[in-house]
Amino acid sequence: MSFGEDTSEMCLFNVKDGFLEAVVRGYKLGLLSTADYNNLCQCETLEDIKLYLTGTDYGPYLANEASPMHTTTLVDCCTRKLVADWKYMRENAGEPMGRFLDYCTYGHMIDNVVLIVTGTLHERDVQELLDKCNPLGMFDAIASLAVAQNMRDLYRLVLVDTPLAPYFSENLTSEDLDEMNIEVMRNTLYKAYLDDFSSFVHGVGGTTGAVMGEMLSFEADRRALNITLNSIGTELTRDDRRKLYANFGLLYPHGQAELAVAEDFDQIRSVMEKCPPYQAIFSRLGLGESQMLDKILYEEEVRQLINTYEQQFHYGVFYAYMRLREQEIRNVMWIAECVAQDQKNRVQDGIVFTF
Amino acid sequence: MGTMSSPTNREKLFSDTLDAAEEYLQLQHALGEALRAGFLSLAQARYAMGADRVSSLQIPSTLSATARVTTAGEWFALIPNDMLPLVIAGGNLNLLLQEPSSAAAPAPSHSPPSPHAQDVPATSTSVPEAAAGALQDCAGPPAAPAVEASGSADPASHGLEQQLQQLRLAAESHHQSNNLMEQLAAKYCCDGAGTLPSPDDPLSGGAAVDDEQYAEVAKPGKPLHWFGSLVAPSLREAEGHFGRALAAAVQAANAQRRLQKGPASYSSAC
Repeated sequence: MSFGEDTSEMCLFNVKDGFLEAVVRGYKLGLLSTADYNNLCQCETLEDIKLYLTGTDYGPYLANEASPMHTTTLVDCCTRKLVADWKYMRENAGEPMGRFLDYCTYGHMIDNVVLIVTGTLHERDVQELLDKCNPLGMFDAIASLAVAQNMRDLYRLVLVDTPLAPYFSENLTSEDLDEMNIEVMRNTLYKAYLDDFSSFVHGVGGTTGAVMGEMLSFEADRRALNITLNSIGTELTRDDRRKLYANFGLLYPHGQAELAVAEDFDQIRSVMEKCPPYQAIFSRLGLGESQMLDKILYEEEVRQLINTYEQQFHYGVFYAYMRLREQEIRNVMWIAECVAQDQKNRVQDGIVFTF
Repeated sequence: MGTMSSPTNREKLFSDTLDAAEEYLQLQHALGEALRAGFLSLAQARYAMGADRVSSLQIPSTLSATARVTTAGEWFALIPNDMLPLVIAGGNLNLLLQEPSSAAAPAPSHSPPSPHAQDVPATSTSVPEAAAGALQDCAGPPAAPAVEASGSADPASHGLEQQLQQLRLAAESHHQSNNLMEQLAAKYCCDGAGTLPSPDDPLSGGAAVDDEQYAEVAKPGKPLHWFGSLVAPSLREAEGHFGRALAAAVQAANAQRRLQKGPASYSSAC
């Protein structure tokens, strides 16, 4: 960015968006610290976890929960906190920040669509499915997803009036929605969403474009890695796998071409290690240790998210807040699962410290 | 009788009982470990994929079994449902338990029961390769060679489906018991002694098995696909752990049966 652009960004950002940036920085201070996690790891029961979290930002959402506590209850209460914060920021956002905040939620919308369609395939009650949808990804007529028989119906009946409509390709099929088609649909939609989000943030430009471009690039690479890892041994062909990768990222295009033909974890590792930023990540893994990969990738993501707060006057802090809260909820869920299963010796395997 | 009550024989019976006890405890431990590992892997899958993608909502409202526990004489056998057509093709559970060299074993297909099945002797010493392979797929502890046929040969016309249904009717009259074996027997459709009904049993029938009845059950679908086609490796690990737990549970039941027989045999030998 030129000096003039920097100056104008610094001068004009706070006119519309300064208040909400201050709000989100205040929210960020409420994230759990290392000391909080150490105390949570000492808890013997889920009731102890609930008691400790009552003294944090989650207090108002957990205080009235009746015993006995379950892991899902803790996750739901913590999610309500994130939803309330996000809703407040969205209601007070101008443009283009409002559109940016909406973009941040389209991923949850895709997850909700897949949840409804999968649940309907398994003959679950629609109301039960709606209750479990992520509130950040709700939209009107989401309940109508249950009547769709194939992707063409899905688009024509429901999704044509939603923000996800542009992510459906022109070549919609009439194939029935089975597990593989639903999975391909999920990843295809997410690919189109990431491409679109990346175009939007680069259109906004400035510090937002630079910061968000880096984070979305990491997200695209991580999704390519996870798709490759999860498709090993499945009926997903190499060509279909390649089509699910986003059209940007550090691995695009040559790294993705090599990932598409990888058949085991060691081949995936050798591809990733050709990219210097990921070489450092994979060097922390032992030979054949794929179990720790998720945690290491989350740690890298958290490092990038924390770094966004080192700069001002950009929208990346809002995206970072959402992702940091989600990571915190994952941490709490993992601790709760270890406590519930009496596996506290494994609790450090899943905690990603924020501060 | 003199041979049975000899000190050497009594000592052997006592030693066998202790071996059965040790095996039972090992299998119990293996079962517990497999379950713990399975639930932890499930938690890891929820961590990696998200709590909304690995939850009870993904489980279908109607479930069908992927494996069945059946009895052959005194012992339990775990047979995956995709193996059942092999059993039906054999037309006789005893035939399934024959050594390949001792009988004209039918080819693994949906063909009708072999006309030679009636001539097959009742005793058996090993599980055929197909069933053993199915058990090995669970990758659990080595299957104890405890699956044995009962005494008299069943006519080839007694299909497995018919037998299981008849046993279910017989089991309905049994009251609840604290005995693990009886609970398992009542739950998995066999009588208290764990034997198949005799041909003279009024509940037994001579109808041949209809392969079409298993057309749907034989392919219950893969539970892993409930959570999507591209699932995390930890979820696949969880599936493996729970499969091993299931195999260990059946083997533990067989080991407990052997353990229960030990004191009775020793008492009769004294």
